[in-house]
This record gives sequence, structure tokens and C-alpha cells, in this order.
Amino acid sequence: MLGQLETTYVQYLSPEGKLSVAGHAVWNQLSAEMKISFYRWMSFVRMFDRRSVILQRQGRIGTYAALEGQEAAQVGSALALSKEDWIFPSYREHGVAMIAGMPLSQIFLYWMGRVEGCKPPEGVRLLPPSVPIATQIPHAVGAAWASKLKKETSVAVAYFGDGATSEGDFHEACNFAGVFRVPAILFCQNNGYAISVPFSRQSASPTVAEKAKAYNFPGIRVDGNDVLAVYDVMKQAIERARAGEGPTLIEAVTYRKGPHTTADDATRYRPASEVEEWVKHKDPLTRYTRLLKAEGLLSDAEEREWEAECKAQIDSAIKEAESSVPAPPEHLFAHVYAKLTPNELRQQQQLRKRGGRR
Amino acid sequence: MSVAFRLPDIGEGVAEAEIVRWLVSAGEEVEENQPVLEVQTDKAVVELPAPASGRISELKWKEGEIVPVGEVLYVIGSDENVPSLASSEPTRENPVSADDKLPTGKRKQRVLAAPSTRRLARELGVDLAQVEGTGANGRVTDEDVRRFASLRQTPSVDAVQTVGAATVSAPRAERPAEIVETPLSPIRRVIADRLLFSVTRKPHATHFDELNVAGLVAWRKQRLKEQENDPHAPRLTYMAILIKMVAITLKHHPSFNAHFDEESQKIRTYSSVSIGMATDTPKGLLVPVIHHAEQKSIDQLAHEVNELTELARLGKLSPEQMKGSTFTISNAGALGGKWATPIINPPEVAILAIHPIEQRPVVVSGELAVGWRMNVSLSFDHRVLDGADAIRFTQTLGKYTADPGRLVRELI
Repeated sequence: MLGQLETTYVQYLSPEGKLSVAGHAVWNQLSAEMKISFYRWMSFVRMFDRRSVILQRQGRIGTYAALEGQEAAQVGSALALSKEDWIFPSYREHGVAMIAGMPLSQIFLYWMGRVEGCKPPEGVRLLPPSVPIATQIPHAVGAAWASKLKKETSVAVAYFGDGATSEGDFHEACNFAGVFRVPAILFCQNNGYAISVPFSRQSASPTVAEKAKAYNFPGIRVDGNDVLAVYDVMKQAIERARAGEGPTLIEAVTYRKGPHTTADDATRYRPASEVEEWVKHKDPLTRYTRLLKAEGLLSDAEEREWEAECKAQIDSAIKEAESSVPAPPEHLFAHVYAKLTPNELRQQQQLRKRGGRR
Repeated sequence: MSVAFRLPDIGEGVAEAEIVRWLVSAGEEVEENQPVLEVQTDKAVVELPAPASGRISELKWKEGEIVPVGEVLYVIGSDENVPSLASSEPTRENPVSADDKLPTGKRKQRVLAAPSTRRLARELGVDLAQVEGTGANGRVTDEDVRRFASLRQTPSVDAVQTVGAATVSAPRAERPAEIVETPLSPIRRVIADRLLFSVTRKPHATHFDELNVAGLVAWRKQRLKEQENDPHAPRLTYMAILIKMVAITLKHHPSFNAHFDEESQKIRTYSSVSIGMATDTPKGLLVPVIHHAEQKSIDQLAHEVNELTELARLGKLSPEQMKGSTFTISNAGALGGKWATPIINPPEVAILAIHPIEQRPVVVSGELAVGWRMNVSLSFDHRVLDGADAIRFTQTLGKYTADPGRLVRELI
């Protein structure tokens, strides 16, 4: 069954690093710069991700949602977007955020619990991560509708996981997007598990993509660990949206190598053989590196050089984030209610009396 | 320079972690970000990487030990200036050394329990390692912790220490010396919860009645005389006889032998009578249960009453012996008093308090006489039962206490 399903998704680059016939056509149209860019971003995102997990274990950031294994889905889709497009991420989209232009130090600040981590620089159309599941999908559809009403060319993309498709918000967003034919892309990274709940317990439909049929817009299933396929599928969806042809649902089939977050233990609910299969045989970075090396576009030395460069950038971002002025305790009261409740007013006064100390 | 690495909160709100394995030994050089040890929290086993490069000068905990978040796990760098801490965590003095913590030095198996259960155990002063878990894979449940707490014979060491700390070593000038704050004992807490639930959810009404117990007194006197020379005869208490009489009374007033289910708002009446006996013990009120009271002889009941009362006093009742009552009798007679407004034992719908049996002046055929009387106070859930039901109930019971011979009619 699983084998059958896998043949039904778009795949250009096999896990062995070989291009399919259709893959060759796509590959030949890419610039050399773009080809190396896929690698550099995926490698960078992975190093950032591993370092973040370590920082959390050292008590330097509060918590963290690791994405290792999902680099191709994030990098491939984000590189297809333009500056003018709106991004509505979930909590695992650090790779997308970086490509959109969010400084690394701010991503670290977010996981340190700092509000500064939510505010991108001017001109970066990236919303703060939505931690509640699926709430960002209607937001994206709303933004896409606005773009349509204002006759702009921007599209809006919502990033979400397979678990989000069991939420009412997903249905509402799809329904609205279909009826109003808005320029939205609903990008689902199906990593197989909603925390510990496997997809088979989330949905009776075998795939996410086929749900689009009910809303009368295209649903495309793609190998989420194939950066070329993800990029191409995303590109097509964006073109359709800009041309006024409405939304697309993309299901990128992928796998997170690690736990749901740093507070989770995935070995309790995922069989070791399944993890090994994805980690050893289906890794997105390994297969793309193989292709680049076979094509003579990347040497071992260049690889090491790039990794050193990544490490330096990450180190400096950590330094920057850790040297930022600590958040005043008053921030606790600053960003939830426009007008504080009596209870919070009292707490605020108590805090002031204690001189703002913990 | 030295760096002390403190156990961070690695799982969004964990309080402690167990040292699973040290991956390095003291004196070894480590690189920054190199895994140094594995710990297990409520949620996961994780590796903790070094915050800096250097030589590990000291491992502060042994494998198997449970470390609270914020404690120093190990120190990287020179031994001399150990206390200079790089971490921005608030400084805590005197980190408990491994030897103070676990004198046995034995590897302690981590107990499976949910964080909420661990918290409950801390609140009740229960050592989880001593509790037998009844959940999946031996997981300790809230129920297990409560049972353990309620079965403990002596007050917990923790509780004693808490009280001691408040009274003896309270140097804080602002606290008046005569006030002693004592946390509710575990058993008291359970009692408090149940009673609060009962009085806040159940509209209570109490009916008082004075029963003629002349027949009961005479009947018991006769039996006692008969068994004077029988060393094997059970101690025939009023309680045992009254349980039988109440059980028969309940057969005639089945709506009292019931539970009221709050969720479904349904009354569940039972064909069999299980009597809870509210028992005063050194640790608080316990309610052992006598099942199928209507089917047991008075001798059998007497035997069970004595046994359960004794177990209750010793704090040795099993949870099964305190479950499933359909009606409760509170024996206030031993201590004195006239009336009470007993609180119903939920989900039951009524409770009967019985007061001292005593001689009182009574009027018989216009003449003053001396009669044996016993007061009873019957509280009932007014949603389910009415005052008239309560009056009829105590009147039926009164017929049996006045004339135990009527019980013969109930022989099956």
C-alpha cells in the first residue's frame, strides 16, 4: 500500500541521487547558482537546526522544534517564493523564515521566549509562527483574498503539518479559498505524525492532497525530500495563483528525523526500522549532495568550506542573541491584552513593588 | 576559569531528571557541544552537551540519582574556583552532594509516574519509590499515591519536619509566635475534598428522631448473658445489631439505599445493602464497608464490625475494604452528644448518625416512667428524597429497635 502511494507523488530525484526523465528537464532549466543554492540552504538549515537542539540541552534556549529531515520541503518551497509573497508559518519553519529574510539571531530570540523574535525586518512578509494548530491557514487565505481584492500579484502561503488537516480551520480555509479562488498556497509538510499520532489515525483518506478535490482546486503530492520536485511543484502553484487560477494544496511527503520538540521522545511511538529507513535511505540533503557531486558542482573541500562558513554565521548569531539586553519582566504584561485585566494589574503592581526582580 | 553546568529545564516544565549515564569521567577533556551525560526526564532520555571546552573537574551526581532542575551537574575547569559560575541561573547555595542525597549509593530505578502524580506525591510527602504502581508497566497512579498516603501508619517524616520547621526554627520576626501553620495531612486532605464536594453539591436536610430502644437493650443483654461462658462468641456490639436493623429498614425504603450520579443525574438504587461505618481513628475519619449486610447474620456482622474497626484504628484497611458502600452509619454514640447534622458520603443519598443509648424520663399512659432511648440524625440529599421519606425511614427503624422480635418476620 505504502509502495503504491509513493509512486503517486512527484519525484525528480531518487534517494540514490539519480534524476528521472522529467527531473532532467527541470534540472537543465536551472541556473548553476540556483543549483548550488539548494545545497547551501539545506546544509545551512541543518547545521542551524542541530545547533539549536544543543543550545536547548544547554539551557540556553527554552524549547525548540527541530526540523531535520524536512530541509528539502522547506528550502525548495521557500526558494520558489518572491519578496512580495506573504508567509504564514507554523512553529517548525525556521528554514523558510531564514530564506524569507529573518535574521538568525531573531530566530534564536524567538526560542528564548523573546517577542523580538516575532518581528521580521521591514519588507519581510513573514508572520510570527502560529503555535496553535492550523490557525494560520485561514489567515493566509484572508491575506490572499486581500491581494486579489487589491489586484496585487502577491500570493500567500500557509505552512502546516499533517495534524493541522484534522482541524476545522483547515476545512474552513480550503472551502473559502476554493469558493473565492484566492491566490493562496496551502503547503502541508506531511511528516507522518501529529506529535505521536500517525497520519492513519488523523485521516481516513490515504493522502492529504486528495482532500483538495472536495474544494475543487488542485491537490499535488510531492516527494518532500526531493528539493527539485518541491521547488518545481511550488513554482507551478505560484504561477497558477498569480495568473488568477486560484489556490493549490501541496502535500510534501517527508519525515522529521528527531522528536516533535525538545520535550518529546519519538522513540516511544515510532518504530526504529521506520526511522532508519528515512534517516539512512531517504535523506534530502544526502541525495542532493550526491547529485551535485556526480554533476561535478560540489567538491568535498567546498563542502567543508561551506560548513565552516555556516558555523561562523551561526556562532555570531548566537552571540548576538545572547548579548541582547534581557527582556524587562514588564514584557509579561505587554503583548496579550490591550487593556490589562484587574488580576493582571494587581500582578503588575506586585512586580513593580518587588523592583522588577524575579 | 571554571564553568559549572546546571541541569536546565529540558522539557518545558520538568522539575527533575535522573542521571542515566555519564559519557565522560572526571578529569577528562571535553569539547564544546560534546555530549557529557544522558538524563531522563518525565518525557524523554536526552544527551546534555558541554557548554564549553575544558577538563571536567568534578561530576557531582551518580548514575541513577534524581537531580532537581537548577542543580550543578558537573564543573569544567580548575578545581580551585569551583563556585564561580558561568551560568546566569540564580545561584543556589550548597548544592546537595551525591553522598548526602543517597546514602546507600545504590542505583535507584526510576519510578514511572505522570508529572501530576509526582506533584501529588510531593504534596502528600510520599516517596514514589515506595509506592506499588498499579498502572500499565507498573506506572504509579494518583490513586496509588493517595492509597499509600492514607495507609501510612505514622505521620510522614516530611509532615513532621514541616511542622517542626514552622514552630522551632522560625526566626522570622514578623510571624507571631503562637500561630502554627500545619498542612492538611494526606488523609485529612482526602476527607476535606470529599466533604467539600458533598456539601457544595448535595442539598442536605437532616431529620432528627428519638427511637425507643428498650427491646434492643433487653435483647442484647439477654444474648450477652447467654454467651458469657463462650470464649469464641464475637463481641456483640449495638453497632452490629443496628446494622442488621438498618439493612432490613433499607429493604423497606430502597430509595435510601442508592447513589446519585451527578453526571447523568440518575438515581441508582441497589438491591443489596453495603453499609459504610464512619469510624473515628487516630488519623481521621475512615469508612470501612460491610457488604451484603442484609444477607449476614448478626454474629457475622459483629465479627466483621470488630475486625474492620480494628483495621481502621491500625490504619491497615485496604482500599477494597473502603469501597462500594450504599448507605453510611456514623456511630457518634461512643462519645456522647445529642444530635448531629452528618454530611452524606457521596455518591450516597443519605447518612444516619446514631447517638448514645441512654435512660430517659418518658411518659407512658399518662405516667412518668424510665425508658431506653436513642437519638438518630438522618441527613438526606433533598434532590432525591423528601422529609416525609426520612420520617418514615426512622419510624420503621424505631419499630425494630423497640421490638427486635419483629426481625423474625424478615427471616427468609
